[in-house]
Amino acid sequence: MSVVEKFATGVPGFDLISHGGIPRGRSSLIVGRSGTGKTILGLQIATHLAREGVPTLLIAVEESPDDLIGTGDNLGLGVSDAIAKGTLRVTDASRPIEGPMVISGEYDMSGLIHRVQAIVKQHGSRAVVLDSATALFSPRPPQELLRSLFAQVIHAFRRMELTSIVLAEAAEDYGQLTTLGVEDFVCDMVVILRNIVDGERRRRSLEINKYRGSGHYKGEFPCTITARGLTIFPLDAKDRPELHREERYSSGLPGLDTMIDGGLLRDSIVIVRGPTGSGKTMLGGLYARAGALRGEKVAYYGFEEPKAILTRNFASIGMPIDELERAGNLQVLCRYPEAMGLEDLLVSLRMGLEEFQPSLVVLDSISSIEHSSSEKGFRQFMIGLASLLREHARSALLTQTVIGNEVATHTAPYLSTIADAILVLDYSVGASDIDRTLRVLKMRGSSHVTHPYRLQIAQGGLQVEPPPVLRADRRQVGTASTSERPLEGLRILLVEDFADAREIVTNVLRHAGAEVTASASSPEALAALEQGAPDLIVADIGLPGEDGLQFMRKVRARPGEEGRVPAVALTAWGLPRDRALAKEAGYQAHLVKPIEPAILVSVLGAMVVKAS
Amino acid sequence: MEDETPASVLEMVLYVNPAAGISAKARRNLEAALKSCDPATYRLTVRDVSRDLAEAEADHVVFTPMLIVRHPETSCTLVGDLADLGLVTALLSLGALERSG
Repeated sequence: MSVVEKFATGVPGFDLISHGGIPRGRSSLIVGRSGTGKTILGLQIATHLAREGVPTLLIAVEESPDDLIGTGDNLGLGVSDAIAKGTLRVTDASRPIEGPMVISGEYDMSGLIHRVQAIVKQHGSRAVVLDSATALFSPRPPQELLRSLFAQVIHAFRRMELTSIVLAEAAEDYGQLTTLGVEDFVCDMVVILRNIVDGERRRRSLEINKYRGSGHYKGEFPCTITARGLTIFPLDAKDRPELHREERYSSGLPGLDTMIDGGLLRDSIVIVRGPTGSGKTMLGGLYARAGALRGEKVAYYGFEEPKAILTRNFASIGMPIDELERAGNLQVLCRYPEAMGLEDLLVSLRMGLEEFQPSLVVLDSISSIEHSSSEKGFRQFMIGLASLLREHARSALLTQTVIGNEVATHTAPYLSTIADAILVLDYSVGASDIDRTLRVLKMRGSSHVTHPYRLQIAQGGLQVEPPPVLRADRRQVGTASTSERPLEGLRILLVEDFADAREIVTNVLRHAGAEVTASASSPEALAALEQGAPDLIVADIGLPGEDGLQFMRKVRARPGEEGRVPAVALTAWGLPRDRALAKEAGYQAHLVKPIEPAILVSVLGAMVVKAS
Repeated sequence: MEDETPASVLEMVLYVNPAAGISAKARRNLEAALKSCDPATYRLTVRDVSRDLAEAEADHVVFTPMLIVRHPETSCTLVGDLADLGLVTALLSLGALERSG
């Protein structure tokens, strides 16, 4: 099977979806209605080829050479430079200026073909861009003659071994490809540009409709025209070896890291889904702060509130970000998607990735984008975004707002494909409190906890906790035999911020015979210590405000018996480094939730024996 | 006494591809159309697109045969083998081509 030789076009995204570019020595057709960017794409390819050392000829039919050169120079494509260097040549095939053109009888394309032959001989052209076939055949000859004339041109280009790009006007966005209706039959590749009204917005796309002898990506891909020309956002991305790195990094939420086997995987896209008020923005903030505090570069795009409000809100819950911004590790950009087209937003993201070079990206929330566009537009945006992130090998966290009962199910297939991990935040409103949960719905390439963990919004962000004991064992707690009381008479100080966890652990310990003093925070526990040293301390690490590590350091700093009380960390933070930190702070044991009550009781009993 | 000399001569350039039959046909048809005209009122130049490249480039020649008619008052471009003698004659007469006889 022969392989189609290709020329890379240098047009961002195009070479990916065309599996390498345009066919060498063959003809490619670029079609689109007025204003779709055909000329820009043609100029972009022509100047790229010229820069790459492929002498290229530009045949100006629709506009004068001066106008074309001006268009290309204004886009920064360097048309004049290429002409000055001799790598690009422009020839004028626009209508003769002498009055009207009248057709009388038969004719052929020898005039143009001989001119091109002469230029090829003299200039050494290996590629040609014809802008456009539609203008070339105006007035339009009868259909049969038109077909023959166009074929003459294409065959002549081929005889001259030219790689040709022919531009043509489309009659409609979907339907007959060109107004002339003949060009696509003789070209090996057909590219369609569209610029259609979608809701209240315009949406640009590019589609490879045909590619003889070559594979290519199917369907429409979003594209946009910027000051640098056309940019296409393909669905898939280059298979970069670093995409498959096993490296993990902290989500910024320690309990979550335990749920997902140590942290998020590098180069992965995480979607955090939940209803309004479930803590998505906070999780986004924790993720961004953790990355920036590690010394990484993080780009945070907020689409729901102005920067000043976002910064203030983060600061008010103990997550200040201004220092990190000043240090250059965090870049916070807030904008309303309604104020700009989605393609422009993608370009802005691309430029941000290229210029700021963040390793982590947060988009809060993609629902704002979804609401400001059509379903198709949003789909294209998400595909483009995923491609962009993967192409640049970036890790990202995207938040998505869903209505209550859609939380676990609202997954458009393409969103599910894009996301490497899906986290679901949810809550139920009780009589006096809100019960929040965090569940890992999916995490590619990693084991993870499937049942929901409890979540609490607190100073410093979010606290995540698994149920303190296994569900089956929780049922056994109430039926435990009172004769099995290994902790009989022991005074235990329990520090646990989650009320239900506090209650369950208290019950487990009391059933084992202990006298339990339960407190919800470090200050409360320290105050309880003033009343007399207990025999044992059981403390959570993920406490709001002063955490369990700080608490234990304060305990160990106390003089006398109080400072030597044996202590057990009972926590959702179960990574090796968490264990090390707990030991360093002064805990003798580190137990990870959820735990079987029998194990908890055994460990506590053993510790007291050891201490005595 | 009335001046019988035309204000200016009609300039005609016919671009042909000698290798193509339709170019020869255009040449014959044009000569037939001009047969009844006063040779002093026009000047016809026949150019070969495979040789007269600079001129073809300057005149934006794309199709052959192609007749460019230039006159201070009116100009036009005729594309094709000029088979429609009536049309050709009419267009040439717009260029104030004087008929003899």
